[in-house]
Amino acid sequence: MGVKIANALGAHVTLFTTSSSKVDDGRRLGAHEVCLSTNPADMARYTNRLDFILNTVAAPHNLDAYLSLLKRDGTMTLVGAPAEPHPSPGVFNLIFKRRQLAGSLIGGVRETQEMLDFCAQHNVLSDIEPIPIDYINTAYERMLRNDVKYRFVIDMTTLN
Amino acid sequence: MTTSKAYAAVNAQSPLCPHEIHRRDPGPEDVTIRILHCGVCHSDLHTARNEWKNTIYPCVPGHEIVGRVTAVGRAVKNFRAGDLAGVGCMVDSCGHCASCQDGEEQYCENGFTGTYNGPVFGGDNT
Repeated sequence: MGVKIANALGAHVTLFTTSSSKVDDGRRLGAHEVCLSTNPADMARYTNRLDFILNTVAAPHNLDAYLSLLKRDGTMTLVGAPAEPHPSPGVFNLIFKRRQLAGSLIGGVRETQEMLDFCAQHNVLSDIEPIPIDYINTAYERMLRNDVKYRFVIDMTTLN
Repeated sequence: MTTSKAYAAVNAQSPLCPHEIHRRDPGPEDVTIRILHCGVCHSDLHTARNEWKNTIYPCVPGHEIVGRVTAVGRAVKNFRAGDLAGVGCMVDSCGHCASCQDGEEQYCENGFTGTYNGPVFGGDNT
């Protein structure tokens, strides 16, 4: 949804993914470029190039690899919440480009309504896999393997 | 008191299983919905397995909810029975701190009430 909304907002969007299976999908979702983050040469192409990074990763990882991709005054905002902390990023990477590392929570009621109205206006829809509720434990296991494109949605009429 | 059907985690190791939960009676500012669909977020899994070390068991995860309004309290102006309604991660906040006054209730300085695992102002946990 981040890719779709960024595209609808008019941004030039680059998707970073560890899954080569998501490269083609990224373009379909609205990314103008897709970078395979496990490929150092591919990552190096973006050094000092990005204005903003929305980091949704919910597992500890090397933040410097992404902070290095920001232009001067660029910001990376973390919205994923890993159970264990990220390794602390290097300070040089921040101060020599006046980069910012930030965090953000959910929207409030007003912002959430604004987001829903924006999505309705621009026909931004979620890609989902509907499931019955008794599939939930399998869905959790598949989610841990990145095996969902992109959201399981429980049909609650299956709760009897 | 209302009894609702749910799937709950009873501890960090157990799979989710059918469970009944008890809700307090709706108040004048409450909206009652019948849940139609609920998205599955990694936060649900973090919480079910106590990976953020704050889970209150039994826990019924799920915070991407769409439902149909079945009843509204007498002070509710924006919803009527039959409307579609969405519920995210948050169902209440104190309403009077600086963040709430700024319309940024997700940063409620007294701690917002989560859709699950949250303390309720003057009631049982969600």
